[in-house]
Amino acid sequence: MKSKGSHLGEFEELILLAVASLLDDAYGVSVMKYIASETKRNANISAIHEGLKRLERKGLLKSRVGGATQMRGGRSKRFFELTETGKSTLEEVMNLKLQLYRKVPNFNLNWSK
Amino acid sequence: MSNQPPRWASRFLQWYCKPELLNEIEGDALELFYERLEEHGRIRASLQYIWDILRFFRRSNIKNSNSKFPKNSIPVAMLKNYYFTALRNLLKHKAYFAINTGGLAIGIASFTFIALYVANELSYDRFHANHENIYRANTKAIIRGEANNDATTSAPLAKTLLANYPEVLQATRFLKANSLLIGRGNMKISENDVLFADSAFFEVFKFELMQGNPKTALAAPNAMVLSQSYARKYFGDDDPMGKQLTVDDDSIVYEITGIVKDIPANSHIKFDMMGSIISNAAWNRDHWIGGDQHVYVELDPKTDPENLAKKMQKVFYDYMAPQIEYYTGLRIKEWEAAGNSVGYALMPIADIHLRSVFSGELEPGGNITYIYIYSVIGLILLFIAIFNFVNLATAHSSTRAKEVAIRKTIGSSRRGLIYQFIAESVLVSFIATFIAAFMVVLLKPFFVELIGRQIAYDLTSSHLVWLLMLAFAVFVGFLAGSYPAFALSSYKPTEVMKGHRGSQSKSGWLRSLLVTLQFTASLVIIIGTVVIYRQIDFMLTRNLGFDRDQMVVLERPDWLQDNLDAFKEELRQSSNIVEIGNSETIPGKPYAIRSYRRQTDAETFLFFNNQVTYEHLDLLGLELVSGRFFSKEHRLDSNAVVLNETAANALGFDDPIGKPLTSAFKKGRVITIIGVVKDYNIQSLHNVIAPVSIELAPANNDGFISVKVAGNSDIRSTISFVEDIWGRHTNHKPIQYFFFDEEYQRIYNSETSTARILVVFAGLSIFVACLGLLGLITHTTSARKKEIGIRKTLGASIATLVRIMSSDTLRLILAAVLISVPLAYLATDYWLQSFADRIGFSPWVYVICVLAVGLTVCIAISYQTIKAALGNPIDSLRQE
Repeated sequence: MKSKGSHLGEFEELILLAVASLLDDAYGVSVMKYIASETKRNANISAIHEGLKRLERKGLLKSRVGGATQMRGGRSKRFFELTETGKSTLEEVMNLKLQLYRKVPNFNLNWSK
Repeated sequence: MSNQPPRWASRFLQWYCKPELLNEIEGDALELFYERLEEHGRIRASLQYIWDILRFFRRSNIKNSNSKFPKNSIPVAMLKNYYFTALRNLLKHKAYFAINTGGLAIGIASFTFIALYVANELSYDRFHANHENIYRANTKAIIRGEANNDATTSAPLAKTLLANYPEVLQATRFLKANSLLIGRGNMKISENDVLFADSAFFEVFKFELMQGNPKTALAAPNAMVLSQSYARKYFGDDDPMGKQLTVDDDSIVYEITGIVKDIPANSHIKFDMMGSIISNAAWNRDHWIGGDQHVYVELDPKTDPENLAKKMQKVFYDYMAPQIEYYTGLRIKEWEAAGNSVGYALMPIADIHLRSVFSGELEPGGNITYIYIYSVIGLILLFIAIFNFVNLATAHSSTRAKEVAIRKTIGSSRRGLIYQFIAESVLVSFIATFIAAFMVVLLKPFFVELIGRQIAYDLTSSHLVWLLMLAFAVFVGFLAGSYPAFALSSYKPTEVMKGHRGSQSKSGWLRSLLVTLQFTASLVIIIGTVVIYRQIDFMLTRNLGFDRDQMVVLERPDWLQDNLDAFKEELRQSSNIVEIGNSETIPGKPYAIRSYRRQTDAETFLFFNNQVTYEHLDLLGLELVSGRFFSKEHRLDSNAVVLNETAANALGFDDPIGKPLTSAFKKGRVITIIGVVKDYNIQSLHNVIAPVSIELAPANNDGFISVKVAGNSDIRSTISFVEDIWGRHTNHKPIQYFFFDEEYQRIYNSETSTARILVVFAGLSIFVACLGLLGLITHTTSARKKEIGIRKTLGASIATLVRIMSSDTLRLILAAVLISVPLAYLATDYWLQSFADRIGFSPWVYVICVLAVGLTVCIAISYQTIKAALGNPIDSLRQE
């Protein structure tokens, strides 16, 4: 899968990782908070929605509707989880990065020098 | 209602959002809203909710218009049609479009800049949550009938108020030190604005402490609070808490007990270092006379401050009066009967920056008059740009007449057409606002330099600003578009189709009016600018009665300690140094006030005093009117005084030379008047010349050392020569110096920066006005193309044609001149009244400004008129 459609942007990667970590509880607000607390990046909720939708279109995520609560004025949530393609793509991307990172000379990376 | 998000925002979402996405989007937005409601309160939650809804407004979430409206729906098709007509029109008339948006963008950008500046000035000190209850206690004294209003007051006032008046909840005081030498290890830096405050400071003022306890940070002697940036400056990435800095002397050590967030630009109290005031016993004495401390109180909200200030008069009688009796030897009743009094005033801190009338402020204040002037100029610029838009749109209407006629024939309503044209102008205004926002962000550093003052706000500081800008764009679009929309939509199809272009003349009078207004406003601004410039030039170049050229002034002579004379002697050896002397103060800097009395009666005279050395007269080039100056031959000169003419006249002696005076500061010893010098200005020309007394104090090492440098010497090498000698005599303390003439100019900072701002905006106003004129003339010449062609064929000369085409415009400019000259005269005269010494009325200013504007206008329109006049008549007549 080398087509442009499967390329993962940096932000999409974050969202994908967030969805994978949140297991059963991955929906717009929870993904946003997860990213905010883990990376200190304050993305607007609409940007998260956009990313989730795009990943679903790429076939990396699938979604189901549910979980309406009083706190949401009775509106339902759309929960996301990784598809098989999603899981393998994530693994592939991460491995690739790790592989490249290890090739950086002097692996203990004494940056402070 | 109270816990619900704004209804209109939800409705907007429901309106645009795809139904299949609505549930989850609304759910997430609501969930965030309720959460923020708990955390930050209703206002912030609502604003963020609105922001979220706006951010959700993107293509992938918006209903497919096809799904809502059928493809052939008339309203949608019409909207599309309007949009494309507008775009095509704008692109077809590129010059018209560029002039319109460019002018509007400049107008909006200028307006935004001025709004940011005005907002900054008006927001001074309002960031303290309790600012309505914080007041500064000021001294309002009348000494011999002269009012002396001072921002500072006596040190013990703070604790006295707190102890005696229950409505005073908290009181704090601080004082500002002159330059101090701050050291950490071998690093020594001289710092100018170090404050010393008591422990209540951070409880009265809500400056945020990042580290340290606001209650105790300044409670102990030799404690110091640093600003974040100074913590970094002295300690880098280390934690400064508990570390030490030396102050002035290696043996005086302060410990860092707190880090305060950097003080915002809109605070009148600015500091990077604040020591505890109890560190020095001299700052805590029970001494009431001649206070130099800033005292602030927080009052109970129910208190009437004026009433309290009146009640505070008792403090004067109980505490200060006995000390006055002691020093003057008068009963307080007698002292008051001689026309003296001391009272207090309480000023809300939010008023200090713009409305203070007190001397001794921490930083030069703004001036509410200038704020009004700026606001008016901002509005004028905006309206000049809007008028351009109206003028061009109505002038251009003939090109749209056929479109209007056809739309009407097909069945468009007048209201529909009005909407169409207003929407078009809103579109243009949006584009202009967008460009303006860019300009503001890019040019802000230049603007900050121009006004010489930091601004606490900018466009990126909050989402709210963007919303305001959007609203502003719509507002400007409406304002500019409504008249053209009404004019355009009033065309009657039959007349247009028959070829009448009647409406031209109908909006003609409005165009003339608007052009006249534009140029009237521009002219007033330009004349005002020139007058202000001339007044400043007058103040700076006028003979003030003393020399300040080629003069380097050194600060902190006390660092020389006993080496003062040796230092001066060594400098005198250099041929590059003409004269050197030290003095307590110099013109432009604050003078102490001393009281004198004739021996014969009890009347007290207050003079501005300077303590000087023998060289003072020659150094400043003062002119002796009678008597002599201090001289080493007369051993009694330590009991002598030299006065200026104003002081000598006040005393009323026929021949003042040799007359004895007494002074409380000399403990009643007799001092003799030995000389009188010609009057000179020790303050800005806002004030009348003050009475000055000069006394001899050769060993005084406070104040300044003035070094007069030879006119032909290299100033740079002379200074490094001085620096070298200074280093040897002060144990290598850093040298601090300034040039007398530059420093003196600083007392006119607020005038000079106003003048600079005015020049820029005056230039912009005439530029935008000319831009509009250019657009108009381009249009009229093209509309009169045939007329010109026929005239030319019949034998009109080019000069005649240019005159015919320009005369209408020039007539309007003439009208503008006639209106603006008296207006400008009144305005500038009003401003000049605030100076004791001012320039007179000069008709040449008006003549030159008018000629300059006339010339600019001629250049702006001549290209188009000459081009039209030179054109070959065949080209313009051929079509028929």
